[in-house]
Amino acid sequence: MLKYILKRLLMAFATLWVISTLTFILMHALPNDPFTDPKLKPEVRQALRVKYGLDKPVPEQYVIYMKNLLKGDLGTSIKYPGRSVTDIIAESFPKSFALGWRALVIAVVFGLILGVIAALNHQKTLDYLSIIIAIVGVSIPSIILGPILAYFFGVKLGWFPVTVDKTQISLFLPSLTLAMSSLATISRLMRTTTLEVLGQDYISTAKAKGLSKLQIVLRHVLRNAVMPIITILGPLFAALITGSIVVEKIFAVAGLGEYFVSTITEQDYPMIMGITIFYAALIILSILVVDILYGFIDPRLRISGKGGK
Amino acid sequence: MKKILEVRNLEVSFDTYAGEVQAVRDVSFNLYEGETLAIVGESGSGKSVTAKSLMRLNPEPPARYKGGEILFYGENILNKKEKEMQEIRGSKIGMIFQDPMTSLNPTMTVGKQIMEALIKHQKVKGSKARETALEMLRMVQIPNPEKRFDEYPHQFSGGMRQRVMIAIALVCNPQILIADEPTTALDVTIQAQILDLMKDLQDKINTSIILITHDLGVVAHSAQRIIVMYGGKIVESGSTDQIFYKSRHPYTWGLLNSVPRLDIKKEDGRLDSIEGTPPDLFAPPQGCPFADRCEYAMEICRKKMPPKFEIEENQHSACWLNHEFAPKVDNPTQIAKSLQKKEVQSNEK
Amino acid sequence: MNTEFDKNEFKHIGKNLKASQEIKRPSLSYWQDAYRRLKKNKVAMLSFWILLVLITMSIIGPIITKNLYGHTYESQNLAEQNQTPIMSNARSISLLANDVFDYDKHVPNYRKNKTTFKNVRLKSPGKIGFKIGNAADESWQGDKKEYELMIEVSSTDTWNSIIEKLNNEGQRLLNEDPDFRGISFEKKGNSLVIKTVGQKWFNSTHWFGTDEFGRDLFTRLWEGGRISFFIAFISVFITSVFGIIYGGISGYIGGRIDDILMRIVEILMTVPDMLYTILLLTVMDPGIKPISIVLIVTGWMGTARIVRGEVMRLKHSEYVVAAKTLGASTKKIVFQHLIPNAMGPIIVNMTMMIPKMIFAEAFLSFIGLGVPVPYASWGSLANQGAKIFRQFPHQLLIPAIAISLTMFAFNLLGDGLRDALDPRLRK
Repeated sequence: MLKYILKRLLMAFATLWVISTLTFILMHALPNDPFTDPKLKPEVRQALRVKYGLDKPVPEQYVIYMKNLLKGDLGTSIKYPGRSVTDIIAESFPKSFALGWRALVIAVVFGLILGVIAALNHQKTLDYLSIIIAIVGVSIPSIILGPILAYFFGVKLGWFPVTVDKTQISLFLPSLTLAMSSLATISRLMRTTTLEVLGQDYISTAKAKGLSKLQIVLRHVLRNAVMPIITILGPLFAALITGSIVVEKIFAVAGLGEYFVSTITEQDYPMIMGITIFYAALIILSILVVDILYGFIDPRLRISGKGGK
Repeated sequence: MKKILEVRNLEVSFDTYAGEVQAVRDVSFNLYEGETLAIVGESGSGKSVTAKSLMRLNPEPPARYKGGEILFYGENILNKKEKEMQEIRGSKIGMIFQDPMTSLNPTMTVGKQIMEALIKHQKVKGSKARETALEMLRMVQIPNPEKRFDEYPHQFSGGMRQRVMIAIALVCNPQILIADEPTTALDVTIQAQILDLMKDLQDKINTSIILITHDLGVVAHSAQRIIVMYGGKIVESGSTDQIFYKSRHPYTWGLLNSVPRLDIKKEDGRLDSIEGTPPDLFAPPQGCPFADRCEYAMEICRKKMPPKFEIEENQHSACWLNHEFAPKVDNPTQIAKSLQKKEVQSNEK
Repeated sequence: MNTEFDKNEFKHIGKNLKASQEIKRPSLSYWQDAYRRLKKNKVAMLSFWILLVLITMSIIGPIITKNLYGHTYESQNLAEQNQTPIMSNARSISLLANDVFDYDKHVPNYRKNKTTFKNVRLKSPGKIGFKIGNAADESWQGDKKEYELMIEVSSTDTWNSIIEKLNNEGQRLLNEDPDFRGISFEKKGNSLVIKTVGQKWFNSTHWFGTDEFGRDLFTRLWEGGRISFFIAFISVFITSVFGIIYGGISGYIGGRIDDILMRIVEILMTVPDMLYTILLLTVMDPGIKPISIVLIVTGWMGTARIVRGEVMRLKHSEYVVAAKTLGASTKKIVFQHLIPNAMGPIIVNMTMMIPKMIFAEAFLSFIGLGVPVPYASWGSLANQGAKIFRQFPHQLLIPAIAISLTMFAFNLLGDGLRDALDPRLRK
């Protein structure tokens, strides 16, 4: 198990290195840099280039960037002069995270419930209802769902605030928007795995023991059906993180996603690179954590010491 | 002997998208205290559905109990509510399944799986339940039960898992144990061990066993009475000796001939098989279901369902060959011939 | 009993193995069977027809309006801004009561959302008036004349008496001038709801209304459909071709090469597509071609993995091993056994990829990396519509319905295809 974790950690670092290198190459493959504004005087431009280290040869820049990266220094923003990328991330990410974990909880809790209910009522009204919810969930992108939810529940009915402020309730609509597609994915998968488990022989054994339907579901079905869901939690979390880029824009959250979008249009290179690498690291980490967690939860993997595939 | 279970004219159908599949048609039999009754037939003969009906384990829908009754101590199981059935399952009737590799929950310790039924039916708790479950593990001869108690099924071999299954089924001392092909998925060497174990336990706790199998070899070893099923119907029933030596049904003959035997040499050295496939139960034939595959088929066989002919006391055979009009056909199986030979010899002496 | 039976019926006639083995169902080839089952699946067939309509409309929609009215996706007409599909000169506005009236000490209690106007009186007497049919108003839709409705109120007036006076005045105006459309006042909660009577008529030149620049939304919707479908189809096609080659090589050769190729895919797949997409698009200028390239670059890994899995599975299947032992050439094995048999999952994968591509395109347009103006794609239409959704919901709803319907239909069709092409489900 320890060997497996070490191997996965090594793999994670390799991936991260590939991504940061790729990001670096892409950024420097551009024909122009952030200071091509014709209004800038050549001296000023040159001074700025020196300030941000863009005058040095690219390989040297790469080495410097990587060294700083190892120290956790992602450089200084161009759009927000004097502020380090790390600071900006540290300030804005908690706002995104506040949405992210709520969305994850909504998606997991309601997705699982919906999936189980559907499977237990296989080919009955409730099943079709949950299939419809699931398909609607994957078919309506958040760029559409967000404004519609904001309009009906925020403006028309006035139940929830339309923009995010300090209150808890203002996080509801954006979290729901963010959660919707993951919720649909989970409920679909949960429905399939539950149906699969329900067809297993050990469910017959449990029935033959005289357990009630509820007892069977709680003790034998849920645990086995949830196992495969755990493996997709990592990628799901990743989807929520990138998904929050849209949601933050709709609900005016000054989170990391909002920064990301604005830096793209501003061509703020250190910011783009920094946030990309941060996102990548976050996603790799979450997938890693989930995989390792899975190894601990599933008794079949726990004992044999072989994790993953 | 006390009759504990009586099945009368049981009819079970499955409603599928393509129509009704009549899996069990007009099946009647009794089960007595302490005996082992074998239900024999090839796959699709309705034997498993019959066995599961006794516990109402066929999923409803698609399964539908169309008619008949199953009297357990005089009470009709088919009329019971789900809640009442749960009281019976696992406590008065236990069941073990064909494949021990998939019949245990992979994410629950073996001990917990055994205790579950105890806690549910006998309302015992904690250490008391653990005591009984450990005792049960000992009874099914699992070495080192204290350690094994907290292990997961994947740490057990196939034979060991089937022992665990038996422990689960018997932990509440049921009156009936239904064993649905308990040895089919096991190695031959393990098969005998499991059958012996079941026999031992039967003597100890005096339970009746219904043994479902397609393997007559297994039956000879352990059952007192045999029911042969084909195409959803009982084609022959009788004591083990009667079925093995004095069968009056061509399908039983076919089954007997297909059992490999060391003591009887065949001229061509090949095993006999029954040619053809069992009937489609979507639209069961109006006559004898076996007629199309039967060497001795007559016109009447295709037209009319044969009634039960009483051959001897307790032996019934549903075959037109037993009608007075039918041409005389001797039991052609090797085993019957060897018996006749022995009888002739002893008569000569 | 004996009279029941005919003795002649008791004669051996032997086996009838043919009857016992007769297969009543006609035998169908894999594709025939799949087609038959897909056709039976009503949801999948409905999805198929919906898609066909959407794609056809994307092709002919812009041509229709161009020929009828001369609309193109970029022709602006600032005089026809923000029209709705159903035009109306009726209006309904609700004014907060304390915007209209002054209260003395009878401040409505908003917190409990329960306001009683029973005893509300005006603080000071005066005039209350409304202008109707004002051309400067944002929801003006073609009234010919402006009317003014004015009443005098005194401090003894209550809510109800004020509303009664307003309604009476409206009635008086209507009697005086038959051109006046009529107006009604009503109290609803703590607001005053004012409704003018008016006609509704179908917008005959702009079927789906217009956007903020007066561009025809019908034309833009289908023009956007062209771009969205084009991007989706082309990127799925190229993705699949590349994925099949990559995955096929990896799966067929296996061993070390497979290890290396798959490790690369694994690393690339760890990072969500969106990051690459955004990164790549900041490097390239937005447009149809760069978006397609980006979607291809980020989309091929999944296909490659599926193809590899299929090839691995088939490679070890008995019939391929049998073909090999019989001396079939590599070419024959690949083209006769592997490709046709891997086709099912590949087709399903392609069907499921298309909505993902449309989704990705919409996402990019939303964050400003989509097709540049004045081009329209469904994503960019939705993005523009979302900005003024509250005033003109149709500008978001129309592209939203198009996107959702497409995603819906492709997902359901994909599900249906998967069921139809899965050999395990053959019945």
